[in-house]
Amino acid sequence: MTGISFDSVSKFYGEVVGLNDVTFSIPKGITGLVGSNGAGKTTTLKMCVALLKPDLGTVTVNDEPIWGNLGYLSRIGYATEKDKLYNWMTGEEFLDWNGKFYQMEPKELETRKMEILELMNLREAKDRRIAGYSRGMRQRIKIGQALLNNPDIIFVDEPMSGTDPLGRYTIAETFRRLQKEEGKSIILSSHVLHELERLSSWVLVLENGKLVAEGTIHGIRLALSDIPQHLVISSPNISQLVSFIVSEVDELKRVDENKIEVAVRKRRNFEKMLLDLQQEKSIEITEFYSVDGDLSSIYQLLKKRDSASWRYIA
Amino acid sequence: MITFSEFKENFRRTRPVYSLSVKAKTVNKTTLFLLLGMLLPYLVQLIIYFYGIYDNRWGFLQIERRDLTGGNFYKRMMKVQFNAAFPYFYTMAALILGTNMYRDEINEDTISYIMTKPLPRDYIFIQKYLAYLRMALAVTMPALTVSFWTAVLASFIFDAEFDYAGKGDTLMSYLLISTYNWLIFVVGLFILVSTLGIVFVTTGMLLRRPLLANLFIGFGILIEQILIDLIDNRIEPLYLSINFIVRMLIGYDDAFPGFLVKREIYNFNEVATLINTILILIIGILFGMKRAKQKEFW
Repeated sequence: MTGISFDSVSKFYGEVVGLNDVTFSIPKGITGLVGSNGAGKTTTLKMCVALLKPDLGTVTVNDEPIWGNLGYLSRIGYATEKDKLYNWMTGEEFLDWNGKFYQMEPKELETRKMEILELMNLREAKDRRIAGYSRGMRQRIKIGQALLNNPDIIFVDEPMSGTDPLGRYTIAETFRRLQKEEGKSIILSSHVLHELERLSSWVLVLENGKLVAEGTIHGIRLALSDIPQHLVISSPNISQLVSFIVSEVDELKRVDENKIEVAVRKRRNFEKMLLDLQQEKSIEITEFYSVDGDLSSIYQLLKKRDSASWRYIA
Repeated sequence: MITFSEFKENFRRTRPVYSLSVKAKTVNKTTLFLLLGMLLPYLVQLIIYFYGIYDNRWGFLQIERRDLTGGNFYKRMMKVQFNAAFPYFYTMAALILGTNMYRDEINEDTISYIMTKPLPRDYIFIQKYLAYLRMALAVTMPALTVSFWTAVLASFIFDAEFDYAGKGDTLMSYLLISTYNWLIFVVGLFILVSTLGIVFVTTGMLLRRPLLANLFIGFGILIEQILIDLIDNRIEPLYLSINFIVRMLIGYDDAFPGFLVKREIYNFNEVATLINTILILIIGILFGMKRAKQKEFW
């Protein structure tokens, strides 16, 4: 675990509830924060980086409060969601200035700065004023400053915002590499769910200030057992297969000659049944996938729910 | 209790906040506007001097014809200091710079680059205040210096009578006494911007919309007078505004009828002023540092 824990945390902005009695811990790896506007994603991130304090409950790192914890702040990096930078600085000056706060030796800072510029594909633009950067470049320099102190934990609010496909690829690859090769923990909040799905090993789903689901994407979908999952199966022996499974599914729809779509509530049991059929009855299955098992579909399913009455932990 | 070495270390660590804030304000257009704006009362005074607009065409301003020949002109330059620059212009510069020292960064969310770094926030407040002080003096000092030394040197050249210029047979004695008088003005300016500034910087940090509060703090007496005049309906509001703005610009003694009576408040005792200043500064800095540690950034 990263050691970051939220314990019964609530945050109020006047009469608006930012977070409502939220409890969770952030695991190592890449964690995605999912939710619509006003769900509490940015509030959560801002509490993690000591920009906000909880009104109720505690936010701790290794059982110590995050607020005022300078030791903790020296080993994190944060990139805000807003496209705001010191426009009068050059990219290099911006990194230089950020580095001054981390007690880095000039040589170390210089090396690190060049690494970041290389990593973020900004080396050629380092002497240009940030005001002249494209939206994607601004996003990359913003993320770059969050990596400057070689942090253990990196928080990035909307990392893909305003980036072109190449920029998205650069950022996504950087996160993936930092996690895999250097063991960093990265906490991302994003509206681009398919990117988040590709990156995150763990997701926290927030809705109206409440944590409505947490876990792996697959795990959350399995936990939604009361909502049938839609699976597509292809087989040359489709008629034979249908005769065996028809009593076990909620819905069955023929897609084409050799392909059907079924709705099942207990996916694990169903998968086991298919495996048995393959082995015992020699029914060949050429294709098998879920049509609503991705993060986007799961999120849509969760959104339809009354968030006050349930929470999925998987 | 914090030790001196801890204080020094924290101060050193947060020093880049100071340099960043100074640089950010230096490249800001508002600062340039303020720097030039501080010279406005003197420029207006020069125009009046050279074009002699105290005639009947400007009668609606209710400004009487004045003798501006010889030393009278330089005396008026100093009146501009007391009647326009210090109470209105320098206060306005302090208000804008102080209020925006935190507020600009909070509104832009660039504050998060500073606040998520491992820095003690009470020292960030000190650095922000020092940056304000430097910029406030940088903006107001040129106008004060230019107006004072123009008057001093001109009175020397034209042998005109000028209270604040030195009196002596040699150029050196003349310059020394003039410099002493100039330093008194500089101390006055420092007292003004430092005491007002600690309030403006703190409110800029704590309040979401600090400008209105700071306008009342900076121009409370003036606003009170405007309100009283409006309530009494002594003068039409539009006429009152035009009349007031022009009179204020040229540092006219009675920019407001009745305002001079209130200005008794400015009759000060030097020692009491110094003690007040130090007290306000200490209380302001301690309060600001304490609140800065608890301040959240939305």
